[in-house]
Amino acid sequence: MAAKDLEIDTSTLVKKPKKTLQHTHDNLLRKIAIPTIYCPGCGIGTTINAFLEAITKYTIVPHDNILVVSGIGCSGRASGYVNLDGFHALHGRAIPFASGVEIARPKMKPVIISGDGDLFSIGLGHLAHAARRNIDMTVICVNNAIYGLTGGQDAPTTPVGAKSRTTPYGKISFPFNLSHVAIANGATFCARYTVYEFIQLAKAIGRGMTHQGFSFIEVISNCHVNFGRRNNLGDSIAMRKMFKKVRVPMKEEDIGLDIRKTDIKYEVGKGFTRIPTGIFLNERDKPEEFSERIIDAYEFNK
Amino acid sequence: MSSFSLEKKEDISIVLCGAAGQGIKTVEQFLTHALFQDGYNVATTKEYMSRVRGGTNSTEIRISSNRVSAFVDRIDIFIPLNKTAIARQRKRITSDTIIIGEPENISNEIDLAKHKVIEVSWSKIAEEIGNKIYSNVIAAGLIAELFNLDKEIGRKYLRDRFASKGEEIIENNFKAFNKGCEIADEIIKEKGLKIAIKKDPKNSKMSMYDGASVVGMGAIAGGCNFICSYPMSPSTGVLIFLAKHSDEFEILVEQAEDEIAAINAGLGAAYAGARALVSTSGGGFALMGEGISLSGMIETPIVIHVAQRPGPATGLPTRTEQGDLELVLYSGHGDFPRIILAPGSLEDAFSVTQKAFNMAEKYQTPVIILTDQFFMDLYYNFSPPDISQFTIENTVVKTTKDYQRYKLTKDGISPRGIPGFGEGLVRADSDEHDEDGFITEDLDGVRIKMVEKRFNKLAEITKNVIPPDLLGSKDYKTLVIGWGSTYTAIKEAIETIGRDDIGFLYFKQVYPLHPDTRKWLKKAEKLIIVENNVTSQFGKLIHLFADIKIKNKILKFNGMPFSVEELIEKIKKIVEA
Repeated sequence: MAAKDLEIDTSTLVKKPKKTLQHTHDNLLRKIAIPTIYCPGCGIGTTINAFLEAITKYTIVPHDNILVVSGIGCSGRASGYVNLDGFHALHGRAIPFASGVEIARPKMKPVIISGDGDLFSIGLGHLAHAARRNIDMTVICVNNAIYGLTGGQDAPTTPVGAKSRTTPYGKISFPFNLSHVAIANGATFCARYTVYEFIQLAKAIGRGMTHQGFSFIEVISNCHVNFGRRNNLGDSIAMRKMFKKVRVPMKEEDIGLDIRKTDIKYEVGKGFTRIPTGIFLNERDKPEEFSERIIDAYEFNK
Repeated sequence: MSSFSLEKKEDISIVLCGAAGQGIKTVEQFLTHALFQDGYNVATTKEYMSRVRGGTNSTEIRISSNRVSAFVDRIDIFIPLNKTAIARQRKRITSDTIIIGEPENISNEIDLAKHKVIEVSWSKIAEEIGNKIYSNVIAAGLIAELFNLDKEIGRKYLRDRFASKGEEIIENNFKAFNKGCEIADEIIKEKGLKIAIKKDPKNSKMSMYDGASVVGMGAIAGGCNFICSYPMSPSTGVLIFLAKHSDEFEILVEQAEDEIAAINAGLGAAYAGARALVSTSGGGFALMGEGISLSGMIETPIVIHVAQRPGPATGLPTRTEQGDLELVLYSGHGDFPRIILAPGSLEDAFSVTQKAFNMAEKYQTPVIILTDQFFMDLYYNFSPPDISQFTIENTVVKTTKDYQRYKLTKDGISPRGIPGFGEGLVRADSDEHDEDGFITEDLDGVRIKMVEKRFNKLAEITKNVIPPDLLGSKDYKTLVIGWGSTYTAIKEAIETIGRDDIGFLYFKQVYPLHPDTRKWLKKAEKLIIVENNVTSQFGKLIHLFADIKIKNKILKFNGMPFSVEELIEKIKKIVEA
């Protein structure tokens, strides 16, 4: 794309403000790429903002050590919007690429920002194995229950009965509980929040990044354009109000061993009826993360 | 300022340009379908950015007295729907282009004195009707009236389109449509904007579908009853089309978790007797490589539709290119026969896809259909195919007790049994296997025989290659060679050049090549190959298999399709050199 195409068209602003508008995290945004491609009201903007809030306030990881790796889809554009080292990966392959970085340069903290389709459909195998190895990375998964960018196809999170362009008669198969999958495969930190719960989400991302090992943050987000519209769930605000209404705060001790307690419920016609949120797992006494173990192993062999 | 009249034109190109989500699609579909139903020849192409909302996308609608189907650079009527529209299409806007739109989308971008501008504040008018949202229908009504569209057709289309939204919305759309017509009447009176494109009621009896739908229909006609795919632009249209019609035609549809699963599920279904289709694009096909090889080894029929987009890697997800021919030709480890098809017209998209299923079934080998983004999104009116000439050839046999899945035969084609049909057992193995389908390490006996058996099928395939079409001069001195979606632009360019010494050889099967390819090419004094890629992949294939090196190459790889104008210029330059 030519540099001219990337210039901000200020003429589109309704009123030209006297002072330039400042974003809370202005220094962390790559302004040349703004405005983003996101539809007005999209939850990915909220997620990126929560991530920036987290790295500013809620984690000890220095910015120079953060690498943002994103996958394919709307959320995949995230790495291009932030002023940090970044890589926009192949579809589904953000995690193995980030694993390579983390193993080669253990001081780096890869943060993967991607979607439910990228991470849990085509990329599920990689997610499972990175969790199993307990690689020191933070995966932020924007779960909007649909393939948004490509026009609204079925995702592994699309609820039973919901309509998408490839399930025009309603989804037949069952969705994943993403947090359940991450924990079952060995994630040592796991949290879920909706985009309605901004501060909790930012704090969870921060804690996840500070955590040594594989941390997983599931963000329940609204794709009102390609999921909400097709399933009569209303606009961005209506969907967020729904999240507010149906979220059920939960703690690690509420869940215990029965991670199924975190299942999301959905009813055709009503939308989401139950979304448990909270920090589901924080295993502080898990053995070291993968890079540490490699280093130990090599030293042991010497 | 010259006249606004377009009376002398036999072919008018209208370009709508604006942000995703602004409703270009509504206007595009209204004009394309309503004008088509009114008896016009209509051809529509589009280009768009990889995003759900915003950006700058455009659609070109050509309305013509004689049937056309290609993309042209020329814009006769330009409708900018946002502020970036003119900037994005500036290269194509000339002093002859009539620009109709909101003053704020035009005045800052061009010199009003040097262009034919008609300012219409449709969003203001739309707000008077009740909502800014109706401005698109005002624009649609305006263009429709310029073409003197039968108002009943327009109203019927709007009624059907907005049926689910209730009477009030339909009424408001009617109001907006009428308002557009009134504005057009004023424009015709004041500016003399007259249009005299000929209609023919016969046109409205034709078909009007896009490439993705036609590939889907061809698949249904070919007996496809199973599709397992993973969404990947620009191939997803086929999956969506088949999902939508799965109820009516009893097609099993499941969206796979990735392309590796898609091809393996497709092969499993085919092993069990289904006629399976997998639809993907280059990146997804790359993941299928191992499965393609498996299809070659276990001799299970599979049809793979690959809608190409520019690579490498994620490349340009919503753009067009013919850069995956070599990928599909060489994909999959080991040697095994395959068939590669590349329809360039919508008529061929139907017949070639239909045939693909019979070919896969007959030769028990992967058949790949190559299209691209331009072709998936292209639609024009065409004569519906005579369905009676197509048959679904089923080669499945009822097995007997002594059935051998890989029985050695003269032509290498073993009778195809499926599990559960007959008394025999149907065994397959991805390892090298004997006639029973059991793993073997018998190198000098079984291995050699099995490799030869699989390759005997290639000789059979070569006997029944779909021949290329020769257009233009039969007595050519210059032969232009094209494959797939470049067909429409090359055809129109050659017709416009109008020389009696230029022929156009259009390949719809690109591998194996027709045995007479060398003969046809040898006849020409000058060869020109036209391809939407950087290395002339088909030229290399011809060099390899027909032993002819083509010197003159017209190549384009910026993500856009060839326009008729640039081909005319480039072909003329080579012919006249």
